[in-house]
Amino acid sequence: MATPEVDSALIIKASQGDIRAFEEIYKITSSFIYNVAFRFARNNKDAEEITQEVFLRIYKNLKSFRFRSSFKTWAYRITVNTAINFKKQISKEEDKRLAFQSNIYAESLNKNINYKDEGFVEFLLGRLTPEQRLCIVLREIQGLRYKEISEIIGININTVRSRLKRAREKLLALKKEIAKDVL
Amino acid sequence: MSCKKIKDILITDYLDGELDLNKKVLVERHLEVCSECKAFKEELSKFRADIFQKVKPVAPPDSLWNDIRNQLTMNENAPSLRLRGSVFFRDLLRIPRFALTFRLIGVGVLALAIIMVTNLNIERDIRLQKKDSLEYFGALVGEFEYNQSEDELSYGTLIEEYFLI
Repeated sequence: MATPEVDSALIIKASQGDIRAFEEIYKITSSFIYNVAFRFARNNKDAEEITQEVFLRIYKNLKSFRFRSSFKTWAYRITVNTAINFKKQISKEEDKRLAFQSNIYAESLNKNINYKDEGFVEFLLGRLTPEQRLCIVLREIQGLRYKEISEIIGININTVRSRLKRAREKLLALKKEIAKDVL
Repeated sequence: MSCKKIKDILITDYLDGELDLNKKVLVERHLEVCSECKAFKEELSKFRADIFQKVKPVAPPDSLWNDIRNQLTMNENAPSLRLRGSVFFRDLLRIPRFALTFRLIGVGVLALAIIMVTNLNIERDIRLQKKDSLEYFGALVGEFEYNQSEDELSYGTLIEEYFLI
């Protein structure tokens, strides 16, 4: 899911308080930001909260954007940091609730498995560590290159590679386990 | 290349199209002769097609932009004192480097001048006080005499002289 680069004139206008210019930036980047937030938060309400927080931060920090990196990379880095911080703030009870939901989902899948159901993707992503999930979302769902992922998360390309490798190995093993139970 | 190495490449760079042409040719030659690695490659491709390629992007709700705009408007209408303070320091940091250097040099020179003038005054006062004390004690023991001319003759400050006369 490639998003176009944001025009620098638009960024300058928005940094001077032009709300219409900022709305244009929102239109260009909100899909990516909301999707990453959604895959991280795993529900619409939290995804909206994360997206709102990201855009408020972007607006507040627009004047300090120095055009040294691509605007998209900068905005997505803010998204990733906000999503990770949000995840840390979720209480243990909330995590337990989500884990419980995943187990219920796994049971229901065992009865009538459908790999093509989007809920299955959510279930699989929920089984990964936040770092692995982030790499998988950016690569598999957002279609970013290793270099872009490394710039957004702030890790080197080899770490991106090893996180993707471990995540895929885990997902393959999980899929095999579920398939074995069903057959 | 060993099968382990080939599988590591298949599950990352090969699957993601990050492999350079030379390595890609090497991997594909291996796949032609190794059924195990070839099966692994097919399993990976099927897994990706089954799971992720069907995932549809989620659209943010229409009301989200209105919520963000309202928040921005609220924040702009009520700037806090802390924010104004931070804006002052932020703007101070934004002064171009050469202008900031000139300003700092100017402030430094002014401060140095004030210190020097103050020091000179203090030194002069000490010197005069020292001279007066020496002359006074000299006169007490009779070694010196006050060589005050009539013009220099003084009984104290102007106000003291007024009351004396």
